[in-house]
Amino acid sequence: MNGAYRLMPKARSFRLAVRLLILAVALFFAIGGPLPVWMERVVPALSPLVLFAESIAQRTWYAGIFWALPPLAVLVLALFNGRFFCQWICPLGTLYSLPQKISLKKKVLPVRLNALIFWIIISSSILGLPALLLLDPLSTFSRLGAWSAWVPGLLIPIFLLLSFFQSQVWCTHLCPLGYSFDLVNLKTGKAVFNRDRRQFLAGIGIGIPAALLLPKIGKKPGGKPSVLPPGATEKFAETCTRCYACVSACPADIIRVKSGGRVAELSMPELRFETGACEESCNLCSQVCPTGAIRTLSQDQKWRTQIGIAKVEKEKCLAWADNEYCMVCDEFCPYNAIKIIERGDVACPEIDPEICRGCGACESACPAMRAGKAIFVHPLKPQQKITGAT
Amino acid sequence: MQKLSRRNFVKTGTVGSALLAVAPSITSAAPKPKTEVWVFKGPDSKALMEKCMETIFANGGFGLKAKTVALKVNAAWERTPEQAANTHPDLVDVFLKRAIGSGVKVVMPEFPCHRAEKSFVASGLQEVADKHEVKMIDLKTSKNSFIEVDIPQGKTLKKEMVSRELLEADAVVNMPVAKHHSGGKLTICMKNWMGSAQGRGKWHAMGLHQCIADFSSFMKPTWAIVDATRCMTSKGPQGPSEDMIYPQQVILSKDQVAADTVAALLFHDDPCGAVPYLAIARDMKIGETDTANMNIHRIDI
Repeated sequence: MNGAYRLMPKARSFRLAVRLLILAVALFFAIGGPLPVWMERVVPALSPLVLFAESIAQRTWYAGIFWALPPLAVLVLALFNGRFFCQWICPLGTLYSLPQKISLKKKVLPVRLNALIFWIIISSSILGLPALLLLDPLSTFSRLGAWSAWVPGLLIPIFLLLSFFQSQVWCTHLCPLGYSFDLVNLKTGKAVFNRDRRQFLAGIGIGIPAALLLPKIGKKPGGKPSVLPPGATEKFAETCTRCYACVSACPADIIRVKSGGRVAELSMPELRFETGACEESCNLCSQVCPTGAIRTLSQDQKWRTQIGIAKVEKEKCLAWADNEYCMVCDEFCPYNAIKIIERGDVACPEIDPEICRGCGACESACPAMRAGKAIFVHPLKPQQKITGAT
Repeated sequence: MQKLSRRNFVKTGTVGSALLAVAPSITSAAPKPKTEVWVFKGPDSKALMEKCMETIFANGGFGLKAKTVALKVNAAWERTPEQAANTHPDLVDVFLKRAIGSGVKVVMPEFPCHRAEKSFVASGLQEVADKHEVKMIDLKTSKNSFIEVDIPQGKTLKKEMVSRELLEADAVVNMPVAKHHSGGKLTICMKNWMGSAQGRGKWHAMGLHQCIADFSSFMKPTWAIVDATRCMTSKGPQGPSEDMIYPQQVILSKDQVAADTVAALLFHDDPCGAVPYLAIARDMKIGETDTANMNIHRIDI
């Protein structure tokens, strides 16, 4: 078992207490609730694998010092202590170790694939697309904060169940973060690398084509393109690790998990305006993203960011089609992006595309019913900055 | 000259006394009592509101037995007091101080357009409510606080779900900010009731102006107080607008239609011509829209 540490019974229960405490705190962080919203970022941002793979993929050191220091500390810890993080800190590891005592000790998965996964992530990141990074255990754990995300969310129940048959099968056989600790460990690193040379080669052999092909697989068959959170990079779908910190953080509850779309867009966060809009004075999603898939925006930068442009569908519009006094879109538009076209006494809406931010206030409030809403936001890719507005 | 016979005496006496009996109703009907409207004007908003409250208490207050007052302000938008999208907190501050001082309990229900966490706070109204320990009730999230009512006079709007707090209070005060509105033309008192109606979204499809008038035939405030200290004349109801006017007025009446008419004159020469729901209110006889039938007390402070 945990070869590096042979602990006395007293020390063992001390470690268990520490781990359970960290698990509880991490759960609290992931679920958020009354906590300051940046705490959503704490757990997924702790992974040095995410920090490095994303920085390599995006060709930029996206994390500031504040958010880079904790994962760097975890990395330094691993240089000297290998899997110390796994055995003392990792909340997902703690969760998977709970059935350890009653595990049936079967071999469900006989081969270790963690090196393969690790090298797929690294090689694809070098080509600009961190494939499989959503397997990072801390992003996986953070997903617990967004229950709607059942596709990637299934990872936890599956591997918790498997842990009853093969103790901590995820941690020992699959976890790419755990493997990275083995690899950087000054004592064991070289031997581990030599042992897994085949998986290193296979990882490169899979990772490189994956990075090239993944964005092209699965043409959207008439599916609606997603409006992305303000600050989302052009490669948002590919660089997001699906930690759903933004989903949990959004106070308007409009960041939802996408269903359908291209393979690379599987279960990614997107904005939905059925029940709310991206608020004028809010930039929380951009503050909590641990991967740089959403760039940090100041309040002013966010205010100038155009994430989409709304379009009036006149044949459904109460004013245009039914001659009603409405203008709810204009009423709710915080940016005054609706131009009023007077037809007789009735005002009709038209969008000023130079001013519209795509916040969806109009779409969420539109009261047209006869044929459904009459105004929809269409995403802008890439997002743009509005310079003229004051 | 005709001789006064007994028969004639009885005749004229009968007719005469019949006339005398009818006379009081005829004489009082001829000069119809005018609708009282007060316009307080001056640069100090709090002083205007103090005078306004004095006037309220000098004219019956909230009613003899009133224990609870529901105050319907406008706190719909995440906008600052200067931007004039919501009722000015200084006015509400004085209202709450004086109303609570008179011994009534006040609640402030509002169905905001933005999330209450944003709009109640940015408007400055949450702070004022907290100061006086008054509850601001967010109707957006507490949806079980609506009660369905019939609107007997309603032409289009026959039923609506209305804030329980407004229905259950002994007295209701409607205290909006007057401002431009792209669909409703102007938001004043009558339009402000939309912030107490759960089904307001549908009104736009049913005929907005008729619905506003219908609802006001049901919801009549004990007092209508209009914040016209500073007003948007374009880009309402949310703004921000660069077309501001500063009438520095607070308008008070028991008749919300009269208050709306006087406030609308700050924006338009012909309120009923410019604001369809006022013309409908006139035709439905919900209130007074003719200033000739109003006693407008203009009080400079």
